[in-house]
This record gives sequence, structure tokens and C-alpha cells, in this order.
Amino acid sequence: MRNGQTPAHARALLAGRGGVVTHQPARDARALDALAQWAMQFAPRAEVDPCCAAGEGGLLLDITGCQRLFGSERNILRKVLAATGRLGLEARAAAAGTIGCAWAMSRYGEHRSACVASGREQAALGPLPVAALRVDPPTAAALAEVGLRTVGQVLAIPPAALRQRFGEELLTRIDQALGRRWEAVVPVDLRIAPRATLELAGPVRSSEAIQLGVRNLLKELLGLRQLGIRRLELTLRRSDLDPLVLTIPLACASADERHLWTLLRPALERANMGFGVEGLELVAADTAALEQTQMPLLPEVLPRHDARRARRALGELVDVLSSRLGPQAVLVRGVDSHVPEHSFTCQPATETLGGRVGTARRNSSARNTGGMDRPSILLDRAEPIEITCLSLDGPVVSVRWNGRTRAVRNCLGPERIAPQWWTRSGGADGEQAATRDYFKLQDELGQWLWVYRRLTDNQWFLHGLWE
Amino acid sequence: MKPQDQSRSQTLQQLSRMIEAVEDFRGADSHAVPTGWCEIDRALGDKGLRRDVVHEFLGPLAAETLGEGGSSPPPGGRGQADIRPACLLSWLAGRAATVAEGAVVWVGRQCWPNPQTLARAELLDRSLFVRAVKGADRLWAIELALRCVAVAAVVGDAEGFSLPATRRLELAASRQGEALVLLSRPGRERLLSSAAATRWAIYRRLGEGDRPAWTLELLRCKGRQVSLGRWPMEWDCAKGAVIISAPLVDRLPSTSRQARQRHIG
Repeated sequence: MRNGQTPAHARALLAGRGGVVTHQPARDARALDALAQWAMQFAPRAEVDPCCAAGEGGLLLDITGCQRLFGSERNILRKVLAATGRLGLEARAAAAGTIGCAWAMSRYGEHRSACVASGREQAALGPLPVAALRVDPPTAAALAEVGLRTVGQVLAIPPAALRQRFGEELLTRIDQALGRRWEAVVPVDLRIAPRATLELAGPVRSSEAIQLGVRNLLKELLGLRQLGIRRLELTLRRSDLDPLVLTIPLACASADERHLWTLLRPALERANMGFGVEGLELVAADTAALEQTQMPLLPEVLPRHDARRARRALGELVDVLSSRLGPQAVLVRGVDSHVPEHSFTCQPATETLGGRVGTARRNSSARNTGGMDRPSILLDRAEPIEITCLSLDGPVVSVRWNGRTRAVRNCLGPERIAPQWWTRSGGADGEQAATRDYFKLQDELGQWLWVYRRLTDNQWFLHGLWE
Repeated sequence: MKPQDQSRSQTLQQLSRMIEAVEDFRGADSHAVPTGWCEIDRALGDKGLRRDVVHEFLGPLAAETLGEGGSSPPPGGRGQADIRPACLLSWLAGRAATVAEGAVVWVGRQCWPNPQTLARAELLDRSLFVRAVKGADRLWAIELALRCVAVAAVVGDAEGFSLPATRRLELAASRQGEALVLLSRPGRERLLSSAAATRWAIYRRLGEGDRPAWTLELLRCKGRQVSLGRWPMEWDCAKGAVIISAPLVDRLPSTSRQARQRHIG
């Protein structure tokens, strides 16, 4: 298999053994960013390589002065490769005096790890192909046309001729590789989660003392930085048991001490202290920027409905509900599907709040029904019923539900709803995979029922009511 | 008029206004949510459902229990008792949402309507669904939601709520006065006493045509002298609205008042 093959060709070669996954460059970029943060244990400055092709990834580490810590450059390379191997990544590494030389040796060098002493760049780069100079593919193709395939051949040509034919960029790259032009690593910012710790003199069991300690830590944490907290983690180091970690997720970023204490306190009361707690640590695991609000001079003259205040109030409501009832306060989102039970999904509100609820917004969920009349109550699971009808497609005469038989006054339908043929029909009971004929029935007491007949086995079910 | 008669009539007017203000158990500025049903709004006398009280809806009950006045519990299988009037509740919640900005909170799985009905009323984006099973959890969640500034309407499942529970909600609503509070109870709890300001019962009935139809009865309205009445309602599928059924009349010149009234209800 090669780069550039179509997925169908590749799948045919695999003969059903593998799968095809879509490339998501944003996710790769985030992973590389995290890897650069992780690599800061080897070097003070790390950067995600900007010159990578799609599907590749690389890091640039500036290890100036780190040889004394690790012993030698070879030691550093060995440790980095071992650590990435433990992470499950296959990597190649090279250390050199210039960024260009290290880039070239790591990608096109013979060995998996290479070390180039300063002053030896020209000799090391000689046998490598022209692409090792980080030139773009058109320039590389143009150089190949003229017969220049290795870096050594390019270096043999006088610079004036190269500039004439291939432009300034090629010369810049050559100078950068040989150390004549300066190039530096642009480091990523190290992100440290704000934390506050409290060490206690001995195991403490009294809950008032622990609550007082946690309140002080909360005040200290909120004073550290002007950020809103989205997830709070409290670690209680217990003397005889494992450390207990309490996690509090928040729907909206909040820096309100009263609200965070309202959420922390029930969790703390429910926690088991064991023999005693010896240390407390409060970490703001996830933070987000807070909306800047101005303190009003006269709070009473605020407009009756302030959008920001409303959003924050709703976020706090969701937080308090979720803390007692679990992440059960759910937000239902419309999904574009004609199959009735799949036309909506439930999501916890703590994840999806972000200002969506509370504002009327016209979106596509209104056109899901397509103008069809849908019942106001939809049962979670369709209940089996017994039907007497004149013919399979014909009017229904009586319905037996919950042990009572009722005559049917009115019958409207059928409406056929077929399953989504484009998804794999791996439903739990095959229910979703069956085509159904829906009928709207009115019984003698005036109640309207939405029933369907499953076409595979001609069984009847009740799916909804109009109440 | 003689001067002393004028001053006496003025004093009498002043007195009657003072007495009205004292008898009137609501504050000077009450915000009512118009229900969209003119007759019912006129009957309630407040131009709609008030936002600082609790409104309770019982049912839906079978048509034959209409007029029994709560003497016997309505029959029904297991499944019948779990059904709530979702059309009516979502219509009223929609009315509250048009009047005020804010979210609609649905507490308790039993009273969650079909999301497609809400999507049609453009309420789905503004809805928050709270799953609470125990009565104490539901009571706590309803109280918390109605105290929130950003909530326009709270629809809660009040099955098994005792008198102190409804009184607690009524107190919280009167202090806050922001959200429209609608409680839904199964029909068999008609005999239980409740501190809600208005109590309604819904009965199923046979509608004309192919529309689901009900009879809405006002059982109780606290603090006001209202004429308790019954109104026929139906669900207009085309508009997605609950409306009062138009009375059917004979287009004969000699139609008497009694014949007209026989068709209503």
C-alpha cells in the first residue's frame, strides 16, 4: 500500500481485514501539542515541527546545555526514544548543531538515531536526498530535472547559479542547515494547572476542620489567577487508605466562591475520611476565560433580564442539580432522523450548556417532523398490543391494550417508516431494522393512539399517544 | 349631589379600594401569562395564569368520571395512570416562553413530552430535562428551578406530593414570582388536598373530526371569586396549538339558547 491510493483500492488489498479511519488534522495537532508539553522533561524548549507533511508529526527540542544533566547527547536520544516507545509511538531522532541538519538526519538518515558533531554538517548532509533541505516539492522536482538529486551535489554548485535558477529560498535553507543563518525554536507555553495545597500536622478526622481547610484552599486558589474554573479536583490524602479524589464538573466557567462551595460541601460530607486526612490538595483541572463583567453601581437598577446573569444562573442551576442527582440533568438535542425513537439524543447538560439553553434559536430541529403529525407522548419502549383488523393494510376494528379491549372509531394511515439503510442494522432486538406501518387510531373513549405494525412478523405495537 | 354625599361616596370608594387591596392576595404588580384561551383568561380574572403561584393539573381522566366531583377514584389499568397531559403542558410552557426569556425545566420522566412536539413549538433548544425519581428529589428540583432567575417555566411531576410539599412550593413561588409553575398529578390523586392556587382536571372526550379532544375543568381558584367552569379543548394539529373547541350550532333561524348550550361541553 502506498500514499495516494484510493480507499477502495486499499480496502481491496486488505481484503476485509482492516478498516478506514478519517484523518482528523485538528485532533493530531492537539495530540502533538500535548506531546510537546510532555517532552519538556527532556529540554526546556520544545516546539511542534512546522514543516511536516500531512499525516506526519515531529517535535523540535532545543537541548542546549542539557548534556550535563543527561551525560551526553547520545544519552538524551536514547532516553527520548525509549520514552516515546513506552508511549506506543514509533519515532526516529537525531541531534545536531543546527535545526536543518537535525531535521534532515532524523528523517532521511540511515539509522534510527544519529548524532552529528558540530562542524560535520556538510559531511553528514552530503548523501541525503534534496528533500532533506526542507524545500517545497516544486523546487525539489526542478532540482531533479537538472540532475541534482543529493544535497552534496547541490552544495557543489556556486550559490549565484542556484539563486538565479531556484530562488532565494533554497539558499536560505542551505544556510540554515549549515549553520550560517540563525534559526531558533519557538517554544510552546507550559500549562500548569493552578493548585493549592495544605499539609496537616497529623491525621484529622473532624469534618469542621477539614471543611475549614478546604474553604481556605478555595479562597487561595481563586486568588491565584483570573480564570474561571470548569473542573475542580480535591484530593484528600488519607493516612490508612488510598487518596480520595473528588471531581466537580461545572457547566459554565465560574469563579464564584459561594457557588463552588455549594458544590464542594455535599461531596465532602459524603466522603469517607478513613482514619484521618493528612493533606489536602485543590487543583483547577480545567479552566476557561471568564466573561468580564463590570460591577454595577446600583444593583437594583439592573434590567430585569440580563443575558449574562441568566446564563450564569442557569449554569449554577445545572451544577447544583447534577451534584445531587448525578449527571442526570440532561439536555435533549434534536437529531435529523425520520425514525421516531432515534430523532433525539440525550446529553448531560454539564457538557453542552455553553449558552445554548435559554435563548430562542431557530435551527433545523423544527423541520424534523416534516409537517407530519407526531404524538405528544412517545413511549420509551413500544408496547405489544393485539389488534383486530379487516385486512393487514385495512382499517383497524378493535385494539386490546393493558388487558382492556376497546373498539376503534377512527383509523388514519398507514404511514410507512423504513429504517436507515445507510447504517449497519445491528440493532439490539432488530427493532430498528424493521420497516413499520404506522396508524393513528381513535378509540371509543376519545383517546388517540399511535400504533405500528412490524412488517417482518406482522406484530403490532403501541408507540405513542396524543394526550 | 350634596357635598356630604359626595365626600361620603368618595370615602366609600376609598374604603372599597383598601379592602380590595387587602383581600387581594397578590401583590400590586402581578405578571400573568396569557394562556391564549380568551374565555379561560376572562374567567380567571387575571388575564392568564399567574406566575407567583402554583398551578396543578390532574389527569387525564376518563370521560365518565366527569361530574362525579371526586367521589370515586377513576378506573384504569397500570398504564393509564402514568400518562400526563403533555399537549396542554407543552402549550402552556410555550406561552410562558413567549412572554419571558428563559429556559423551560421539565422535572420527572413522566411529564417529558415527545421532543418532536417541543421542536415544533421551538421549545426544544430552551428545554432542560431533569430525571428525578424519588418524590423528595423532585420536590427539591422543582423548588430549585423555580427560584432560578433564568427559568421561564417549570413543569414538574407532582405524583405523591403531600400537602406540606405543595405548600412549600407555593411559598417559594410567592417569594420569587419569576417562573410559571405547572404541576402534573395522576387523576387518582384528585382526593388529596393540595395548597396549589389553581387546580384543574382534564377529561378525555370524543372530539368532532379527527382531533384529540378534552374537557378542561377548573376545580379551584384560591383567593378569587371565579365561576368554576368547564371548557372543551382540542388539539389543532395543523397549528400545533391547543384551542377551545368552537361550538357547533344549527344554522336554523329558530335556534334556541338551550340547543346551543347543549352542544358546548
